[in-house]
Amino acid sequence: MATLQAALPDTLRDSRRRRPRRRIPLFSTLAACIVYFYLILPSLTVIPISFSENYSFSNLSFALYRRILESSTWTSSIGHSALVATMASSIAVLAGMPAAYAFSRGRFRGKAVAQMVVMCPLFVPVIVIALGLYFLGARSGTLGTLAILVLSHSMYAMPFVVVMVLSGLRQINPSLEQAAYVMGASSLRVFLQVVLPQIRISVLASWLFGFLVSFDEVVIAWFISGPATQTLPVRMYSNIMWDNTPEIAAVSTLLTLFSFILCMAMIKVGGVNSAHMPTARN
Amino acid sequence: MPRRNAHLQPSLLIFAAAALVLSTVFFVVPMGFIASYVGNTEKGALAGLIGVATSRLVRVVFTNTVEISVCAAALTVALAYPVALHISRQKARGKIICLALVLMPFWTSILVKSYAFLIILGDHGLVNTILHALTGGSGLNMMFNRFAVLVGMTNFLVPYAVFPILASLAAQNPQVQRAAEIMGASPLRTFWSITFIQSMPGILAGLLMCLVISMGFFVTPSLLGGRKDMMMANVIDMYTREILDWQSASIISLLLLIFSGTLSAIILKIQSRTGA
Repeated sequence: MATLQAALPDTLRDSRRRRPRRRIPLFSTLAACIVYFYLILPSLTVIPISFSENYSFSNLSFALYRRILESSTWTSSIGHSALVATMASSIAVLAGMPAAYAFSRGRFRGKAVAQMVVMCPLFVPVIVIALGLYFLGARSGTLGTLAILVLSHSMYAMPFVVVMVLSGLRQINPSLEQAAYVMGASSLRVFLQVVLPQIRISVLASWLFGFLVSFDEVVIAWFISGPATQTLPVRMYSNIMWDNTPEIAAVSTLLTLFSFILCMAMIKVGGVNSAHMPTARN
Repeated sequence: MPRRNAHLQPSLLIFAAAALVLSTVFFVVPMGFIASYVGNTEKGALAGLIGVATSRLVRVVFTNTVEISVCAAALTVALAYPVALHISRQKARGKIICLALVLMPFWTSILVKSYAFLIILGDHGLVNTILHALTGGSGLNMMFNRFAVLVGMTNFLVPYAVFPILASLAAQNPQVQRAAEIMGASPLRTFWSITFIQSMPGILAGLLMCLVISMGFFVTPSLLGGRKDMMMANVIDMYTREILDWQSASIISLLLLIFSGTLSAIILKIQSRTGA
C-alpha cells in the first residue's frame, strides 16, 4: 500500500493540512458514492450471473465454467491470448527498456524524433493504427499470422513500457553510471550491471502492464487476427455481437478476477504511476 | 571539452535501435499505407475526398461521433468531479480505498463492461426486472440506443477524468480557502469561487482527454448502440472489411487522426502551461 501512496504523492501529501469538513461535502460525498457504485457495477453484475444458468438465480452452479473448459474454442482463444500477451510484452520490454535508457541518458542526433516515433502510438486512435496494420498485413500476406499480431501488440505496448521505465530511471542517481564510465566500463556493461539492477522493479511493472495491454487489446486483434490466432477479446467481441451465449459471464468473471490480481501485483511490485497511463483501450 | 567528456555522455543510439525498428515497421509504415491509400488509387485523392464528403453515411456518422463524444466527455467530467473532490478530502487510508475503487474499473476489460451493461440495461435486464417488480410496467427501452452507448462510455471514461481533476484539486493552496472562510464566505461560496475556479485547468484537461478517447471508440457503440449510433471507428471497420473501400476508410481515419491530434496538442499545451 505504501507504493500506491508513492505513486500519487501530490494528491496524498497535503491531506493533513486540510480542515475538518462541513455541510456541502455531504452532498458531494453522496454524489461520489453513487459514482463509485456506478464504476464497480459492471464487475458486480457479471460475478453473480456467472454462477447462474440462463440468467436465473434458482440454481447456482459452476456449469458455465465447466462449459468453457469443455469448449475448445474458448480454451484455445484463452491460450492464444496468453501466448500473444506473453511474447508481445516480453518483446516490448526487451526493445523499450534500452530505448528508454537511450532517451534518458544518451546524446544522439535526432533523439527527439526517435522518441516521438516510439511514443506516437499513444496519441493515435487505436482504430487508425489497426487500419494501418491491416493494410500492412494485407500487402505482405501476413494477415492472421501469429508474428504480425505479436509484433503489432509489442509496438502498441512499447510506449507504456518506455514511460514506466523512464519514470524508474528518473529516480536513480546518474552519477553511479558516470563513475562506471570513468572507470572504463562499456555502455552495455553499465546498462546491464549498474542501471538494470536499480530499475528492475519498474521493468517488472512495465512487463505486467504490457501483458495486460496486449491481453485486453481488441481493436488491433479484431483487424489482423485470423481463425488460427483468434484472441480472447476478439472471441468475446464476436460472441457478444452474434450469439451472446451465457458463457460470456463466466469468462468476464475470470477476466475481472485476473485484472484484479494483476492490479494488486502491480501495486505490490510498485513503480506504478497510474496517472501516467493514458491508455485508450477501447 | 566535449571530446574529453564524450565517454561520459555516450550516444546510446544503438540502445534505441530495436524500438525504432519495431515502431517504424509496425507504426510508421502502416501510417504510410493509410496515406498512400488516400491518394494513390485509380479514383485519385480528390474524387475520393469528394466521395467521402458527399456521402450521407459519413456525414451522419461524423455528426454522431461529435455529438456522442461531447456528451460523453461532459457527462464524464460531471461524474468525475465529485469523485475527485471526495478523494482529495480523504485521509491516507480512505484515500487508498477510494483510489482503488477508481483504479479497478480502469483495469477491467471494455468487453466485460459492455457485456455487463447488456445484462443491466437489456429488455429483460436487471433494471427492467426491478422496475417491473416495483411498478408492473412494461419496462424501458434502454438498449441499442444512444443512452446505452453513453452509459457504457462514461463508465469507461470516468477514471481518465478523475486523475487530472484530482491533480488540480491537490495543487491548490489551502490557505486561500482558509482566508475566504475567515472573511465570512459561506461554504458554498468558498467552494464555487475558490475550489472550483482553481480546478478549471484539471476539468479542461479531463474534458479534452475524454473527448480524444471517445472519438476513437469502437467496441461500445458497436455492442451497445443501435444502427443509428455508429461512430467513426465503426464506419472505418465497415468500409475496410465489408464494403472493401480502402480509400474511404483511409480518408475517414485521416480525418479522425487530424481531429484527435489537434485535441491532444491542446491538452499538452494546457498541461505544460499549468502543470495540471
